[in-house]
Amino acid sequence: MAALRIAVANQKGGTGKTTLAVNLAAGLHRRGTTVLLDADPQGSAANWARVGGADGDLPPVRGLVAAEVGSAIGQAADSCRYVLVDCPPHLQSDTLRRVMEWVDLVLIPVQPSPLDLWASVDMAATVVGTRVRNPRLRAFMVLNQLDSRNALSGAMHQALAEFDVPALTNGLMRRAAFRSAALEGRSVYGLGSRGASAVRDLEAIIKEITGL
Amino acid sequence: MNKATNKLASGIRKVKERHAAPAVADTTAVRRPAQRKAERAVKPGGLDGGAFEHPPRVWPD
Repeated sequence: MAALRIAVANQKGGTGKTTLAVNLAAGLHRRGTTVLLDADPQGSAANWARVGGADGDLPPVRGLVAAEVGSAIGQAADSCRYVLVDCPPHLQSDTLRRVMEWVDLVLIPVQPSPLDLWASVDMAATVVGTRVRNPRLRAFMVLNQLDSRNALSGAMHQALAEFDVPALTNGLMRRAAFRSAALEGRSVYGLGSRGASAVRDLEAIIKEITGL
Repeated sequence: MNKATNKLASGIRKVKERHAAPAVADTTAVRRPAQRKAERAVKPGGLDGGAFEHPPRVWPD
């Protein structure tokens, strides 16, 4: 079976790209061999794995540079069921553009904030433009840090209908477990009962994207 | 749609329109030295066009 190649990308920083990529990778790793490629020069995903060390529950995390995007994703796809790429937060980045040409699915995390939405307009347009070179590319916005008490959170799903890129039905709620997981160098799956709610959010997302 | 949704959707539409609009031509183009010299030449004795630095030497009768 061909590997599913997923990029987590948004040109805006702080939208939760690495949190989504790392925890999604951990959840997918429980279903099949997974590798996480860290294309962000900040190396946050690699640091996350480094903190957990041998006791962590993350799949292998490897660095990715622009010149090796095609070969690295291709090689990973030959040996793994799932390949995830944590992308850099720059739309002008060669790495981001190349990654989008080599993956099947782009997930664009957005927080319930007007600033995140405005910044995502360019990202959505870039995805649509990339389909000329990669016609199989599918893309979805993923709502992150949702808060049931916040009016903006409730309004997000309808507002996202304005984009040319659809949104996943499921999103991530604002949960302390995601920060705790980073602190311990684990995924929320490795937190036991403390991470149960966050795992539920992720499992819903995984079911949705693997059923596409 | 509630108020928050309307505001979010309206903001997204405005940003999309701005991105879709062609770039506005730069109306503050820098004048080249040769252009400035030519402008001075057609306005002899005026207060603009460099006449303040080089006033016309006309002696009153």
